[in-house]
Amino acid sequence: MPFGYMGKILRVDLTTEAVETEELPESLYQKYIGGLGLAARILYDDLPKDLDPLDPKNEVIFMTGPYTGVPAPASARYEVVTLSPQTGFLGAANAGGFFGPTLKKTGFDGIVIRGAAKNPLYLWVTEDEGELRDAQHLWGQDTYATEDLIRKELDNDRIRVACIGPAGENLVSYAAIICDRGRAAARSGGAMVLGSKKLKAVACFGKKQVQIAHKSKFKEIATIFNKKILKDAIFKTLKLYGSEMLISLQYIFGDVPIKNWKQSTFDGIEKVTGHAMYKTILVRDKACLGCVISCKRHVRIDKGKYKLDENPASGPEYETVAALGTLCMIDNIYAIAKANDLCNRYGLDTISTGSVIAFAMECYEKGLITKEDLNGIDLKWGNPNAMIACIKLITNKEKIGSILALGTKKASKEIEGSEKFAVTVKGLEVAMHDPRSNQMLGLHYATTPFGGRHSSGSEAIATGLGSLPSPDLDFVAKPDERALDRLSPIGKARPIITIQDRNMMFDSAGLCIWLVSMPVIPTHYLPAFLSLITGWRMSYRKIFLKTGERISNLIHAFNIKHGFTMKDCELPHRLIKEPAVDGGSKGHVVYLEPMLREYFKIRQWDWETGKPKREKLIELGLDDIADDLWS
Amino acid sequence: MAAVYEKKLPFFERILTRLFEILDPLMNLRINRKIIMFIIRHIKLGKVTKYLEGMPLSLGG
Repeated sequence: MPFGYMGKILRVDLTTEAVETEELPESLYQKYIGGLGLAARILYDDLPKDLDPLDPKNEVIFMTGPYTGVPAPASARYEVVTLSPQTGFLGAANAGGFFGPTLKKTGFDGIVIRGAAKNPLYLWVTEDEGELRDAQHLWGQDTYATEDLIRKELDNDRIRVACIGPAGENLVSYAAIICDRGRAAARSGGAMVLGSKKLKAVACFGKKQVQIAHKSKFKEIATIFNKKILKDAIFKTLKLYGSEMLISLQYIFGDVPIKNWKQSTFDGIEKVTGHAMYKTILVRDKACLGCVISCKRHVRIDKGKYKLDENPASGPEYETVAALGTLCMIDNIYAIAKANDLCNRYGLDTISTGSVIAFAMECYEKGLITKEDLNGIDLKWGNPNAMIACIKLITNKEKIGSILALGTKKASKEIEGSEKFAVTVKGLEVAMHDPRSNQMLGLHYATTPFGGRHSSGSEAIATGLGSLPSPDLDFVAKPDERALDRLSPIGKARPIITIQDRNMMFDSAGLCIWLVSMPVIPTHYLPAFLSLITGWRMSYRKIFLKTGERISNLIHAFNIKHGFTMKDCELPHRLIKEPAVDGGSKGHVVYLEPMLREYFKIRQWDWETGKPKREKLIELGLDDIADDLWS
Repeated sequence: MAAVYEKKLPFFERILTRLFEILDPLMNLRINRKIIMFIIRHIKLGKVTKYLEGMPLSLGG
């Protein structure tokens, strides 16, 4: 068994109810690291072409990386990978908390789930074994109740549960997998696939330890990292204000989307900042297992119409505040916290939910949907009660909720005249950072294999906000004022490629992006840190970045196998045709084509078909995929 | 209905909350936006030079 890994995965077939253990060779770990990379390789090999995401042959893979569960900061992430019902391509989401490290302590690096059960089941994983159990009594329960009921049934309070809520059961396409009361592996609709398979939850408990190759040196470095983080001004701000720490700056730059991406200014903005939350509902920060960063929010609302069912509860993060707040012109932080709580309980992705509601608000304003379609809800801009009622409508698929549950892109095809209001990439609602204020982010949205997801290009956001780029980005090798200009399309392709490849590595290793988005720990330290865990020699450029590039190409090849065309790189009308009307990017759109051409040239991807060149795939050690794509 | 943050804030965080108390209401002022944009643009370009000399990274904002 290689250091940093448990050496095996659990394969579960829900149709036959078979649960089997599979040992993986060290070479596979070395080539794809774990987490996203390893899961993507398994999925590439297992899924046939032209598969419907809700076909029982589709798989949902929970996968940890070598960094998951080691005694170090930002080490609690696990990845959920599947053929996404939202995009039709590879979908990935990750979450922190306690579930990922606990899964690894059972002795498995990951779980591959396929097939479909006749009746609801849940998977119970203990040390070196897994068991499918009846979940009829859990079906219909929200995610918090599901967690409680499983712990009670198995008589162990330390069990960790990742589960779906009513939204996943009802096949809402942007349903989220929730663990640890509000940690969400939200994007890409993995919970919808689990709902179609009738798998309510994965519960796990174990005490096995991850073996580290150079334990004492690793502990020494981890202690240094912890001390640096605790002293760092940015991390102190992150601890106090959470991911909303930079909202003031983002707002000034025009990064915060408002009124379904039609505006960049909003009178109510100061009522929804991190500081506003601190003054009103925040009671404490909260950390994932073993992490000193503590970016998670815990809030309390114990009276009034937005009273939470449980206090304190998980609070909203930046993406949620923007999606359920500014995007819908809502400036009531209590209502946003309540809506966030409902999304966590029902198991919904808050980014997509907020985006769909903002889209519906615009349709309502234009008379494309009526009060009757909405069960009497007056879905006007800025109406918090209507927003909350709409979440319930979507979860239960009542009235227009059944169309909104399809996601913005598919809903826009059902509601005539609304196509231009849909802000999605590859069918996934765009995350809450406006690329008209940051051209590099625009290129990222167009090229990331997951659609409108920001976290796989996180450093592009920081760079656009005035942060200095990292040393390995080509801004630095050839400093050019235009390349540093967030509003210019010049010189953006090479840096975003490096950022994307690096993020592939972070998501594969099980690293939280907070650790690597901040300057206190330079990114190029991390390969050395991983070397201490695995014992493998890992130089930054030749191995770390190359492996990231391999994973990027693997996932892109997966998408090509499942029908990707150049049309899938398009950005929505609102971002490329409608200039920002106000704020820090007034007058600008995303100038996509020149950036995209440069990107494809550097990647060595064919401009007509989108396929990676055969030589490139062979150079990356993906010979079999080269044969698949080019034979 | 206001919640109370349960921890006593250390010095840096106390200063930070006072700073945001002043800055947040100014977010929609045009002059504020212009000043912040000016500062960031100049800090960034100034730091690139330092950065190329091998200085550690830092946030321009």
